[in-house]
Amino acid sequence: MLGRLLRTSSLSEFVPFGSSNVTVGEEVFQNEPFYMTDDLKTLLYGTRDKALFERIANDRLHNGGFRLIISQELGHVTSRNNYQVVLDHSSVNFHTGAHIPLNELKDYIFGSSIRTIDYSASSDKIKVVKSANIVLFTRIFYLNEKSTLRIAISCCVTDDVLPVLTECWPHISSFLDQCENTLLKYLAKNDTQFLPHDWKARNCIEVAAVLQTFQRKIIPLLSGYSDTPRLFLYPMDSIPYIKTWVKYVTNWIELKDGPRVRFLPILLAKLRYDFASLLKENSNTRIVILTGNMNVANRLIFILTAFLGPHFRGTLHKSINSQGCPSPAGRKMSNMSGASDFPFELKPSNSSITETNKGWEIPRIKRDPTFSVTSVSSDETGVQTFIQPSSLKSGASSVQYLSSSLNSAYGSYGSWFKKVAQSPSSRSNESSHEVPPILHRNSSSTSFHQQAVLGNINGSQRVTPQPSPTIAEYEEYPWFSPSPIARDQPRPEKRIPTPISSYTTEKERRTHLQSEIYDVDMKRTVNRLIDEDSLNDAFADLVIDPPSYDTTVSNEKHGEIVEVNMASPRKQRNNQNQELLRRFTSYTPHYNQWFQLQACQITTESENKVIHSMKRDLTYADQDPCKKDKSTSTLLISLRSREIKQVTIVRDTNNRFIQRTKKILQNGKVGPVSRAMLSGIETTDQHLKKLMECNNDNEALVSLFNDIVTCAST
Amino acid sequence: MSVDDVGFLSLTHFCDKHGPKVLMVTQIASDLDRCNELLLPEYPKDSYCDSCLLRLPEPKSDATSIRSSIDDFYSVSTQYSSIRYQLLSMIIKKTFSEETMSYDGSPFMFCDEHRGLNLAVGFKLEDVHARGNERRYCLILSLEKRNPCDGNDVFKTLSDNWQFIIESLSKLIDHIKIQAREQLNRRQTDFAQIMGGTYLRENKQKLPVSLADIVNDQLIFLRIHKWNTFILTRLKAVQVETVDSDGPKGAVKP
Repeated sequence: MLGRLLRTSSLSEFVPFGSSNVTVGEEVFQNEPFYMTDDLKTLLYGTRDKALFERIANDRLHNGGFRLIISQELGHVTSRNNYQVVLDHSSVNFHTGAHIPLNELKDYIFGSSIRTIDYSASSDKIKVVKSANIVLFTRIFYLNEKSTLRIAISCCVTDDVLPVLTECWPHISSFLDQCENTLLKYLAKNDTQFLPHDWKARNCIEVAAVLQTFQRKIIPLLSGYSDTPRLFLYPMDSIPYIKTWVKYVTNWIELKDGPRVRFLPILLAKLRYDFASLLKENSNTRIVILTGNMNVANRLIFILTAFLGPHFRGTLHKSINSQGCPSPAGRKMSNMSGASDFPFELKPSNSSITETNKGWEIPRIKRDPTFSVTSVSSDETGVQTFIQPSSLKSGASSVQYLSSSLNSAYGSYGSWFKKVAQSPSSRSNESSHEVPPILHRNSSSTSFHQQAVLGNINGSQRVTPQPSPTIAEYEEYPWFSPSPIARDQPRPEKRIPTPISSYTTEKERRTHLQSEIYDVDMKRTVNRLIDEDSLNDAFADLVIDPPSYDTTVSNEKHGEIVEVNMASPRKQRNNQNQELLRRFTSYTPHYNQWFQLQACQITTESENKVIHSMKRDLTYADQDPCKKDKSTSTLLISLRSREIKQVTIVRDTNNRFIQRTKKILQNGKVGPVSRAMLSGIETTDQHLKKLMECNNDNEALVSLFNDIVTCAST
Repeated sequence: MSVDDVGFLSLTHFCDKHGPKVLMVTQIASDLDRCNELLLPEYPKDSYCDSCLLRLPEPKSDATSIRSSIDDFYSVSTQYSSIRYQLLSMIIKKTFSEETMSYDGSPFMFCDEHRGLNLAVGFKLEDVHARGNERRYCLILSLEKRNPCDGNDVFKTLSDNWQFIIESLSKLIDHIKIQAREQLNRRQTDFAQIMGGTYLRENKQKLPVSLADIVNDQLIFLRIHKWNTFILTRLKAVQVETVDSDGPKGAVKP
């Protein structure tokens, strides 16, 4: 009955923005498992710790489960039944380690009956019940100033959410205010001091309203905050980070953008000169990347990390499993996918941006056997003839098309992929750490997506449940497979030197590898950094070591003082990192409105979802008197259509939403942006070119990198 | 922002005779004047029983305050707070008497307009001289509620440092518990021989015992003072840094 009521009730006061056809409440956020290579995990999250990612997939204890208890005090202090529960609702998916009897919960909610009445308008409590692995949060309030009887709204959730509970408490608190008001209105309407003891059974609209606030607002808020792993931002002065960043930018510009599209320079200029500061100042500001391909999106997110903040400072934790001896299970994975993530030597020495006379036509040249590691000659010809539809031959064929078409039909290539996976070439890839860099080439058009499939075959991992990109998408990213065209007609004037020249000795190579970013393994949780070592050191220093002390004699102002010597914690303060990571994340299958940076799957609804969440932000900002800014902005980046636009929503004097869309890049052209921004784009473009040419000189690299991400030179 | 706004940390205790009591409260002050306000004058210590008294090591046992000076501010630990006396009594009364507290090291937070935001972590130590053979203590971090519009909401302070606060409090509690256990093991051999244990026996002798004796460490309060100072210093540092945190430096419009 209640369920039906919940489904059908139209609660005008809970509809966030009037009569719009927006769904009531929050977007119920769900995490789904998705595949990500170990190296990419390290790049984005600073660790490849499985626990961090598996938790999302399998071990989600709560799954949005909760138990809501509404109770009241009857004023019979001596009676056993002084505290009456009027509503006790458990969601079906609420499982806790141990069952808690209601009487115990009542004790936690109301405390001891011996108390002084303090007439605080309302008070909040958060209590961890260790034995049952739950957190109980309670709002206690009075009917009015004269009343001494308390009413409590309490909710039990799993203690997984404890680390984020304080973070999103301001939001929860305002939702609890809503519930409190609903209850007070009900009491006023019925002119009574007490809620009916069978309140739940009465099917009141108020019961539904309170339940709905929990079901659709508070619980999704908690799981939205707690389950999504947050990005780790590498130190801005870390050479391996900068080098990896340059590598990714170079690859993007060379392979994804090509010589004509200026997607990346425009995006980076927009961030540097305008949006990054907005993102920092206002938590309502977002960057949302809409895509069908998580690998491309995650790489773009890695590039964007340079513009976010605050970055980590101090020493990075290195993983114990060094490059030389990875775990057998992880090894296979990282070789199938990570072969292409191999740092700094991915581009062959003759790599260049090449324009052929006939556009990006698929060449039919024979591969040079010395370069070709993946030699699947017989299959290759087969594939080539198979994957080149006649429509593609007319003018616009490109290497992207090639891989896209390969990709879109990957399901039918099972045997082919298996063959590749088993071919001697893939085995030689496995030993690629030992072979000279020049041999480390994946000259087949095997893309990331396919490599994920290969990983799937080998490691029986789940592949991202995504529709294959259509041929119209430029989504596929032939990252490190140098296009055959590149060797077809190299244009020396555009040649970009190899970032790292071949190492003369094996030792030199090893030293280099030791400094790479893929070794990092930060100690962290889903949303926080843990610095256990420094805490242990400080504890040993301050508590275990006997304190040294002195005395100051008493005077008329104070008694005798024991002066305890403490070392200046200045050093520690300078290296202080923010423990709580900001809400930036990588690709998630579903849009999570609480995150400021994310990529999500493009659907017909995705843009609307973003806009609705922006309107919701403004609705919440209205309720919060402290928030002065009455506008919210989102940078929407569509990788499918190569479109960048900034959507801003403000409220006018009549409290209506006004939406403004500013196109930054559309149809390959820069939109109507200011002159300053145009010059900014040019500058960024110049800097990027310089950066890509800069190779061995670390100092120059750092200064160029800083030029791009900061405004020092303008 | 002023360092005085960071909050304060107290070690509190439920005395068999006197109820909820503050053993030691650590506060920090931004300058000498403010520091002088925190220092206690000489006060009679006779009214405190052994378990309620902040016992300082001999021969300084007459001292009233513990002080450390760090860079540009001071940290002061005292038996009671001269400037937050009433607030602190309200907080400990609520923690020990009005709420159902668990003494298992699990965090408990309460927040209202009078008491501000408080995070209490309770623990108990075995002691044959106490009621129920155990003594109950609580470490309470109190953050006074300020105007949330100034951007330094108390919940933000707590959420920014959650892991640090919880870990550092539990480290101190673990240390105290281990010390107490070792001391108990040393003593129990003699005691058990004479009395044959206390199992199911009424404990009529409710003797007040100082924490310093339970852990057999006359410097324990100095150690706790140092650790409390460390925690508050860190909260202060993070707060200051949040105001001018880095990020894309100088990302201004061209």
